[in-house]
Amino acid sequence: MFGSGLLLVTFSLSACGMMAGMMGMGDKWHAMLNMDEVMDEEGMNVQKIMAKRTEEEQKAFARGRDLFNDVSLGKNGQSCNSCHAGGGASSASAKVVATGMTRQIASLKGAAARYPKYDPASHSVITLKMRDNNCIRLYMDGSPLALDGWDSSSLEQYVKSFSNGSQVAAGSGR
Amino acid sequence: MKRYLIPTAAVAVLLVGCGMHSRYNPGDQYGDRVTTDKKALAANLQSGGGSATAEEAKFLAWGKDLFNNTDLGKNGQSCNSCHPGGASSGGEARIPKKMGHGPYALPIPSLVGASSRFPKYKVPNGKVISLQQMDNNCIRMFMNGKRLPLDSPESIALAAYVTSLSKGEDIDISSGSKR
Repeated sequence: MFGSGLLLVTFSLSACGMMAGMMGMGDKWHAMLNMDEVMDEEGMNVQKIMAKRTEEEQKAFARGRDLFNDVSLGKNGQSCNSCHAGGGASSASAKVVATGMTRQIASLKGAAARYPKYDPASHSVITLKMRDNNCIRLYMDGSPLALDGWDSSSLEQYVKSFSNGSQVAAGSGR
Repeated sequence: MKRYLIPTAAVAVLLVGCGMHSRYNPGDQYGDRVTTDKKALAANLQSGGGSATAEEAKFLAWGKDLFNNTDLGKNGQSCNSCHPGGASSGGEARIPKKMGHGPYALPIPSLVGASSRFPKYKVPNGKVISLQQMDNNCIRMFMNGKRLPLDSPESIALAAYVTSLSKGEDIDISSGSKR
């Protein structure tokens, strides 16, 4: 993995160098890693980027797991895990706090594969982050997480990991 | 046939767009579309997913239009310029110094399978971000445009279309342990 990354970067470096030379840009342009990662001249090298990526993805995953089990996201003593223990369905139904009506609890395994999707409560197509917020509001009586925040992305990462191995099926009308 | 298809689709998308705007409350910073009216909420929940397929088709069509729309940026580029039909154009995209990084020249990736790996770490953000935020990275860095608010129907529609490019691909979320 690292070897091939290094090879790619070496290749990109020389390719960029040639291109920059041709275009008279000197060292203004920078070499790239792994097709979608960047390397800048301030010393972010391949090893550092990969170590940082691992660290950040671990950090977000752990944060997402903490949030999933955190009853302070809501106000009724429930966490995500109360209804979806280990990503499954803990019991048959959950109560919508505002209306008192009960709704069937779905397993989260494979659920992320269908987002963005139509959501009846929202009466619109929403993202997985927004669905997480709906659960927090409707079933936990809590406040939604800011969509551009790290917490929201971390929770999404953790929730989506329950669907690892499922095929993306967005837009299939389910 | 193709000549008429594009204007027809554009009109349809415009109509769809107007329809969605009327339901969208831009004052809601969290994109929470759940009504606070208990009766309306109960009715929505009871109606189930009756209009699910039609609504999702609308968003997909709109997202496809946005994907091909140069108005998202200011340099005459659309998403499709770099990712024709979701594939890679094969070249490199260049961006000026932005967001405290760069300038960069990036080999353009295919978008097939991309949504399977988001949320993931991205260098310019320095943290794990979602697919919608990556769409915004591209708009800002490669198209010199303004980010779409994550709760806006535009952002959701674009994410729906970009996600549909990965249809059938296995979801592969990293917990940081395998790469």
